[in-house]
Amino acid sequence: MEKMFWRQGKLVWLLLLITSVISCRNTDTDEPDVPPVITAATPYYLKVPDGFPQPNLSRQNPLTVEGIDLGKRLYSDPILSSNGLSCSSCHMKSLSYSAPTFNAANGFRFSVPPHVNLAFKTYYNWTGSIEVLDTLCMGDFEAEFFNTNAADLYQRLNAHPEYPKMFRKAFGITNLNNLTYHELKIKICYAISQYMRTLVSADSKFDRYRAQKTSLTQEEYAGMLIFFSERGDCFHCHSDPLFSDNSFHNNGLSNVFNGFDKGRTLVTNSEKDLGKFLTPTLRNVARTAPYMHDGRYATLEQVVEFYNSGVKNSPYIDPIMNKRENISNLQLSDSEKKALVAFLKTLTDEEFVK
Amino acid sequence: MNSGIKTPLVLMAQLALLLVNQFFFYSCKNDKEETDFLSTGNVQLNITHEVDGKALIFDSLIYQNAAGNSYSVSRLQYYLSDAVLKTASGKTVFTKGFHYIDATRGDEKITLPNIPAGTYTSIQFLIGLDSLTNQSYSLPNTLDNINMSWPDVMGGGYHFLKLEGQYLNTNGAPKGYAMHLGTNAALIRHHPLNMLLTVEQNKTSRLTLVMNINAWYTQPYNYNFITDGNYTMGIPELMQLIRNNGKDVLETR
Repeated sequence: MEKMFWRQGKLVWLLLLITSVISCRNTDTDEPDVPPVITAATPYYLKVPDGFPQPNLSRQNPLTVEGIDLGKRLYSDPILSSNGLSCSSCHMKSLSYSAPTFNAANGFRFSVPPHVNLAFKTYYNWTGSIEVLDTLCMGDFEAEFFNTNAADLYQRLNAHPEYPKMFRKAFGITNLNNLTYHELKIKICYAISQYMRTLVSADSKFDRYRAQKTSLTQEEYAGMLIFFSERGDCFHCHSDPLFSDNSFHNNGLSNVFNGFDKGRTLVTNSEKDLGKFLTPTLRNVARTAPYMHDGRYATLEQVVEFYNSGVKNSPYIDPIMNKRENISNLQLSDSEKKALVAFLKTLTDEEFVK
Repeated sequence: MNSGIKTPLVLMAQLALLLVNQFFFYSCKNDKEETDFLSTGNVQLNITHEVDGKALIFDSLIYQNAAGNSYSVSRLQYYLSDAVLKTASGKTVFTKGFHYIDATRGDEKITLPNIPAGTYTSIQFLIGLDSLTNQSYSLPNTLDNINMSWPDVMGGGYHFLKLEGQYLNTNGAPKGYAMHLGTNAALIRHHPLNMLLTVEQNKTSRLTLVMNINAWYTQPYNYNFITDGNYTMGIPELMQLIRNNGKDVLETR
């Protein structure tokens, strides 16, 4: 009887193991054959807002309470850098975890993408140069960002009163010195990416309007109708509820493509991708100025005016952008343009950016 | 006394049982001839996209439609749903389910599971989603489905079709077109496609389904981007022209 109990018990565990392995979604990994990581850390279940797609969770870096705690702390701690910078230096909460612009070492000037709803994306950065969130911040240790000194990093983390314990709880690491520098950076990125997956924004005025918890003004409502109809034709790329289709488009910003303006071509080397950029989310867009990949527009009014009258034709432009007469002259009235801006401002999640 | 009343009742019951038995016997016998609902197999459809017999090349302004427009294709996404298979004698198998196709990802394979074993001579699809399914947020919230949503302020539901690209206008300059179908009135019930497909128990039968892009622009109407309009969303009369043309865009191989 006892033997049978143990046999059945083993069978149950075996079935549980098989089902857990089968049910793991391995959509966000560059190491598809790596077995799931087993730690003693506490599993964390990400709440998916209504209407959102399932998140891209990582098999090799599952969400845990301890991992997220570690990531949250590291995110805003200059301990990772030699220049006093931390992730939050360029990803400020009040700006929806973004910053105005950054001048990269290669000469490219770009608007800093916000860290919002990253768990639901499959491409990162303006050109989609990264497809794995777990390692998104690996480049930040380089000279142009943190300029991290490896020896200093080990020394500071080891000497810190909390971090050694937090790494042990999150990843079972008993001695940071046992990790190579590359391994240490990966674990740091794993923790930070876990935290970034929890930066979910879905409680804007528009969300609450849709949930019948609040109302829109007449101007905001008029803007919503423009946004979600062919009048403004915003929704095809900035599709609800992420307000991004997670895809690449040439929106007619330029008709000459040099440097960063080449866009997705910088990743694919394909001419047809010239001027294409990953559709940025419009969630909290009122907080993420300046706009476009290079931050050329300071205000939402300028952005709307660009779509109203400034789209440039080229062989690479998205068909949605040059399907109208006079290229993309939306011919919006002044009041319609104001209404559209008013609607865009309803996409701010005040709690998220507080 | 009671038996006198019982006897006709028993006889009626026996007669009824006999009739029911005969009904099942004959209907089973007929099914056995062409379809066997007790044993099932799968049908795998390999879906390819062509322009008049040649494989579709995206983003190339090399195609010409019946109206004489030169055009390219940069995006082709649609739903196929609710396949209906028929045998030579007209016995019908109705399936329920939708399949999202993104042609830019290359050939797509979709599977119709649990099709009764038998020999089928035609297959039919909806291009789009039936009215019960075509309601906002009714499909699983995948990125694909989300990006196919049709805004509530325009009627809600989903895009059935996104067919986009560039064409040359009267000045010879490239200009965008976007043939989008949505709303229940634009649902396409495609003509039945002839085939000879045998489905065997626990086996997968394969069929190739080809969409000819130029068929969207002819039969019954030669659609012209320049004179008819280069986008259809929110313009019911243009969606109807494309919808009517869309009834014969598929063929089997």
